[in-house]
Amino acid sequence: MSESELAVIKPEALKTYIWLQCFDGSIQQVEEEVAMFCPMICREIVKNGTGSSKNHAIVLPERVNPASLSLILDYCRFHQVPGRSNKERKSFDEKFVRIDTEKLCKLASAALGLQLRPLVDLTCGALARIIGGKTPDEVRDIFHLPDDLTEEEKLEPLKNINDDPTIRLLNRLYAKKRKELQERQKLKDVQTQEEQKDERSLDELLCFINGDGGSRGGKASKSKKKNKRRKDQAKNPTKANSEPVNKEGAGCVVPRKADSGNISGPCQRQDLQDDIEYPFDDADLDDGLDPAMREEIDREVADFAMKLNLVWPERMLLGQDQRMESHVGARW
Amino acid sequence: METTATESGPACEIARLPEDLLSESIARTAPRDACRAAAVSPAFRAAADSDAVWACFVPRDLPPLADGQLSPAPPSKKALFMRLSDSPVLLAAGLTSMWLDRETGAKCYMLSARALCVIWGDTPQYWRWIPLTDSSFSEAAELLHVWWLEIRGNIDSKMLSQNSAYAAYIVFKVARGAYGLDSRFAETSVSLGGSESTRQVCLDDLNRGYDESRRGPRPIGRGRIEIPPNVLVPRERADSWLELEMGEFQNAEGEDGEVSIRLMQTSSTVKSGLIVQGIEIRPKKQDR
Repeated sequence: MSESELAVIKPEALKTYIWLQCFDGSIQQVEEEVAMFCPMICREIVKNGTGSSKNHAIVLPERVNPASLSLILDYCRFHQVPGRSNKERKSFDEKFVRIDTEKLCKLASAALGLQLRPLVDLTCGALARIIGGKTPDEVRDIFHLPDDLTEEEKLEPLKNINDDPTIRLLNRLYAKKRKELQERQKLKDVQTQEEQKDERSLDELLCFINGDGGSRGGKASKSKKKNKRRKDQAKNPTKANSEPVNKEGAGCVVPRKADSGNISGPCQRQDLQDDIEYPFDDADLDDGLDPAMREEIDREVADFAMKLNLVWPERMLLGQDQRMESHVGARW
Repeated sequence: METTATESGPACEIARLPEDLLSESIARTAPRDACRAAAVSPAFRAAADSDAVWACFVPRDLPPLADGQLSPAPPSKKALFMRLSDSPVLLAAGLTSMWLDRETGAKCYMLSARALCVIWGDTPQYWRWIPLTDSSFSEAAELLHVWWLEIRGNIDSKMLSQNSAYAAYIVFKVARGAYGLDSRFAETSVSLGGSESTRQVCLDDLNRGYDESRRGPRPIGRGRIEIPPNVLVPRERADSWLELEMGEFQNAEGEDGEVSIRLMQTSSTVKSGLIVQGIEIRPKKQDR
């Protein structure tokens, strides 16, 4: 190993090259002074003596992929030259991070892996400029992130830092939704107690629908789907509301509180949930959730319900929607 | 590009970014961005709510607070920031309160009337001290009768956040039977180091006794003087006190010294009815 040590401290009459190996197996050689700019590589050379030949290439951490590595080496190649002015370095840095967000993330990871602190700062700063000032939807768009926060998590009110009217409206909407989720939760609890009565009313409902099959032949599948959903959560009669039904394009006339004799409370709550549920059609609230997730969500909803009770007077003032108010008025 | 992505479609590279890198990036934005980031995805939420981010927004050097101000102790740095930016906390002597500006995390202060130097304030015939219920402070100074109206305050610039533009505001009310406040305009000044900023202000509440159905220039109190455009008029705050900007200054890095704030109206007219809660020092926003 003394040979490789000598190779490192040799005066620069000959250019020495360091061998680097990426996780995918590809090996490349780099000028020594460029490679030494990275603390991790530097340490490998000095402590373990690797890197002097192809067979003893320095194995880089997994997060350093070849594309990022070549970018990093360009960075090192520029900055390790001592004679550059601050202005030059700044301008190079600015151009350097003008890459697409995917490459930027990989570059940041790789820089962290090589412990190249200035580059980590630079890339984090660039990411900050991308994230800053954007709404969560915009950020998800930019980074191609799936919308996978649960409804409850998303409904946590945004801190309205500047009394932004948009945020105020959003928070009101969230408060409404939270309330519905809370009711839905209560509905579930009620449902378990009154299973049998519910089934009866569902049969009645099905009879009604089948009897009226002529006007809704084409939409039968949709009402069945709706019914399935109702069955899953509440087995209560559904109510007609022209607005959301129109959204689905269905013209079904489902009886309004067909069986109001059973549970008048949940019926009305069901109304609320129908009114607002349709915009959230795509949200996987009931279908496709495994029981464990559902339990977690139930717990979270209970937490929110508690929080809501504490700030309910406030929310009452905020919720200005007429429909909501009339339903709430009827119940409270 | 490598095709090791497990997601179909465009690879969500940021999903594989280590949490501390994401935290570092979010820490370089602003408090509002960090709150929004928490609503993007579970990974973003974990990074955005972390202490690593909020420790960057909470100023490192908070002044010593009065006993019991932060109890129960906030569970996280984010909770601490929210607590400090929601409402003021009293400093050790109980005469000054502090809070954080929500946008930037800059430190804001209010010097209570007791912390100010109110000329003739200790003479009961001229000023009296009245209890307050709608403030962090227990007392305000009420002007009974003076010719020489002068109020001074100062604060060490080291207590403020660096590299911020601040302004000082006098927070006050005008009592029902007030008079003389509008006959001449008061002069205010704020100075730090070599620079001084001055204003001319009208200390009277323009809406006092004003009949809304009238048109034309508003008469003030009983003076009926028109206010020239360069004179500042009181602005009503959310807490229904009035405030007037007294001047501004830049707290540049390394500029240590004392910020001196002064209000004077020493003409030979008698003034009465000014109720002073204190002087507020906070970052100056562009629209104000």
